[in-house]
Amino acid sequence: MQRLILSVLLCCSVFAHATVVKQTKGDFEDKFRQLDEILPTPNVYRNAAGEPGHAYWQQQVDYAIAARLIEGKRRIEATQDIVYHNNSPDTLKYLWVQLDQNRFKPDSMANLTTTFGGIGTRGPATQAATEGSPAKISLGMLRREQFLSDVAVGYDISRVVDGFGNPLKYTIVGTLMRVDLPQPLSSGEKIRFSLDFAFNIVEEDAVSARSGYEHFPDDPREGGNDIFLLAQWFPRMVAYTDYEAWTNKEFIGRGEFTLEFGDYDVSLTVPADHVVSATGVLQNPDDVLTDEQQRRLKQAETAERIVFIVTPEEAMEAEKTATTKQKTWRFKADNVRDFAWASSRKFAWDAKGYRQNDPDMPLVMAMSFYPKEGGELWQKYSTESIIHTMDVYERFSFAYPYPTAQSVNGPVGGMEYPMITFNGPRTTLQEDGSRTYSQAEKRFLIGVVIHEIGHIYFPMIVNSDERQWTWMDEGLNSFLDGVAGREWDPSIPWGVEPRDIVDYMKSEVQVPIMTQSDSVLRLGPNAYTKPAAALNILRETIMGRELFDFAFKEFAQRWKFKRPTPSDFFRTMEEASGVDLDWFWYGWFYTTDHVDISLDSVYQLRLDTLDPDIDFARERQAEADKPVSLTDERNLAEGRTLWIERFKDIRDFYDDNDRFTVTNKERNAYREFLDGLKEWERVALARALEEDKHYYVFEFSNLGGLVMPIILELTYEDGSSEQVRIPAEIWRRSPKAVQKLIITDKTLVSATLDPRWETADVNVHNNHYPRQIIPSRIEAYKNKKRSGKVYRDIMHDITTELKTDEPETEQPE
Amino acid sequence: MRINSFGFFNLVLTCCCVSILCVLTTPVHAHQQKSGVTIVSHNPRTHNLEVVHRLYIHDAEHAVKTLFNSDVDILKEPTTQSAFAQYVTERFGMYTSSKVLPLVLVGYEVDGQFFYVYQETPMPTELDELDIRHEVLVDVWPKQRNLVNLEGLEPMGESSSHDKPVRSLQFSDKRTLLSIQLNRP
Repeated sequence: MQRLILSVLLCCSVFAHATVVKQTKGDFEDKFRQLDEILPTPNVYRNAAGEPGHAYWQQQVDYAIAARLIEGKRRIEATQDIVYHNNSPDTLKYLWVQLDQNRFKPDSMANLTTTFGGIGTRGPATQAATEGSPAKISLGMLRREQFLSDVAVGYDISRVVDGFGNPLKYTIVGTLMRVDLPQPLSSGEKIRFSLDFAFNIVEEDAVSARSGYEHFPDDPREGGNDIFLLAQWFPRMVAYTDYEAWTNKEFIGRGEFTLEFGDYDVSLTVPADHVVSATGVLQNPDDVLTDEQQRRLKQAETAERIVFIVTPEEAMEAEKTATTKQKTWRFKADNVRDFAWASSRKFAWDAKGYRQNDPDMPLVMAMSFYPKEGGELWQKYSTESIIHTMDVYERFSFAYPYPTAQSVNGPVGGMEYPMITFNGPRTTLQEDGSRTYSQAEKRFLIGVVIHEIGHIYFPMIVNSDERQWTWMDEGLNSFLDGVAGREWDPSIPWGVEPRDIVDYMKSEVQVPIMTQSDSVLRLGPNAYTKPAAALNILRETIMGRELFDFAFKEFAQRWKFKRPTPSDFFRTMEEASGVDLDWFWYGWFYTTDHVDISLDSVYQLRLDTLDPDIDFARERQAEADKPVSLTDERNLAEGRTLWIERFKDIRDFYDDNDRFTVTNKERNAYREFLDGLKEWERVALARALEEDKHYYVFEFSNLGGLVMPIILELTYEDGSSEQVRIPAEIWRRSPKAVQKLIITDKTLVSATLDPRWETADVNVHNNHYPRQIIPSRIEAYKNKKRSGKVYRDIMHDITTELKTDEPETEQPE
Repeated sequence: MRINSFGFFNLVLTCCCVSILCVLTTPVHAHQQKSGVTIVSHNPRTHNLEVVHRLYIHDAEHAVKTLFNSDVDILKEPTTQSAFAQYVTERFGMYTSSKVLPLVLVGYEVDGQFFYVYQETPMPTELDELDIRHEVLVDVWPKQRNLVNLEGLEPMGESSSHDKPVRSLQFSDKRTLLSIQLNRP
């Protein structure tokens, strides 16, 4: 127990540091304490309602980029113009720029601080020595090291000049660069500056970079082909915010991006036989597409099913040849926070128009780009998954506000950018040359496309700060991708149910959700599943769909194209629903408590009538109902004759009247009592006596720490049952244990806490009264094994020899 | 938690030895979870220590292709399920006072998005310290993390085994052998 006590003490002291107000006597803990001391003070930029304040501002950054993909060298060379609009009330003497490609440099903070065999590293793994086994390094790790020693990575930055061509002083700090301005930039002013940059593209499979190239050595073209996915590829302005000023925290790898909205005009020069997918809308189709391709694109706008702009057969043909010619694809994108693109001659390209009831954006082109390796899996499900996502997310947020929504298959497992997403699932090449995919791969494709397209809403439009809070985009988006997944096919299991998070929440290896992204220990359950399950619980159990959906949509619309912080989310959800959720935010997001409510006991009360003729008779009955004394019973069995039976002639009053006999003395006292009652008291008593209801007192204890609603299913003698839902506020004055009186018409036989597993209660054994024997998973498995062919002992059965002259009776399922 | 050593494992500390861990023929997708949960609990009704391994189907699906053959399918093939369950049992062990606990494979099944493997062993009379070896899937991808929750092993004087604290061991890529002190009354 010592260790447990120690960890409890540690938690307490952390709690004490976090708050100014302390309970210094006793151990009462106010689970419903308002979050005022924890949340930042509301101000003119972010108000107390969780809304952008009356003086809300954000910067704007417009980019014009001309980039060239040098395929042979796998290199990008570009020049870019940046127009920085200072909408803040502050005067800026310098600007900060993000140089994310520098993360791959050998001396980057990311590389220097990667621990050997460490936890939570992105990319190929290593394994430190244990006493039982030697240290190990994966081939993937060797490939990464070899790649990074062979290829010079990181940016070459040159010609940083202002709008007049005058050089600007700049200082590179890891993945960041400070550009000093010759004149301070006043509030409301803008400045134009330019720079040239170049870098060698990393091999995604070697480096796990969220982008990069993938090489296909077996393609028919001599030397093979590549797919290029370009993201974090140009120097992007660091966000300047009202809550943190410059968000210039080094890019270590896990905490993703904090970015500004702006307009983009990007020209991409690539080999002439490449197909390019990018954030935005193609400006020069006449230059890069054939008349036939343009006609197909037009046809796709109104098509019922996908239309190929580049067919798989045409893509297969393009794989075989090479060209030295080049083409420039020009894209424009308005009001986006980033720009990504993909380029390859391997791409087939399909499209289907999505018509939505929105005057600003009535038509969105849903498009997918994939090599033959994506195959039928992609033809069937990628573009349809994009459209399904827009269809569902609109109900919870807003109509999709951009003209294109794209899904590109390449070496990245799943990653999101404005209007374009990279998704990894593929078919498998079989020995007979066919391509197949498994059920899990199909689910993965549908799931990942929904998830990544969902990210175009959160955080690409509801522009949360990913470097600080992974949960704000991953948690909200995982919640919604679960909603959308269930509306695709509920048989596909999507992991946002309360039951999906209990093993994590009861474990010792966790940190609060409110932890900066790079410091989270287990990112999956912490930033994806737990917040998603928490939102699911708010929607289905605590707030109800009507209040939750209204408040969630309000949050999305308030912060559409703006930058929300966690407090803006917490405040909006409360303010728009009218439900005090501070206890929920605190318990689920700021602590590592879990839910374990125990129904300890139920006892019954009965109302005394005070009428001696009734109560005395009841007491007599109660006495008679007690079990007979063993001595008396055995005396009788032995044939002992009682003294009172042997001498029946000696009797008195007490032989005929027991101690429960009512006399007029009691009857008179009862009359006096009735006469002394006020009229309302008499009415209440008479009615209660007439109704003769059942009074049950339920005793609950809170073992997990998290307060949650008490959901009780009461089962009665007649077989009927009803549900009683008690709000979490029942715990407000005694968070460790509460009692509740429940009055029923019928006789209760049993009660079950949280019968539908709505609250993430980690222990269902103490949820039943009377206690039930709940078989363990292993016991349940053994029981099932006896019935049903699904659970046959196949390990054993498989060794059975086939009797060839008898028909097989069972097939494995 | 300290790393423990056992007489029956190779005790030579070979930090400087670099061995090749695995050869992955296909890129591993980011959305595989590469994490498993193992629950070790005491069943007072059967007096057994029960072990439930829960692995993501999507992880298992890719893993069996590396472990066995590129064209096997764990969802469809009972033989593959059986072989994978066998693999899991070979790479998990529990030891107390340097004695191996004889775990019996009860069975395995697919349920939802998970593949379950069940093992059990009679509850040891003395259980002050438990050493666990967990190497499941770390040979396939070193990023694999396995969380072990030990439930109901620390009695607090109550009859039910279910209201007791959960103790956890996190097997990340650094560790495959961990030891935990259990506080018995």
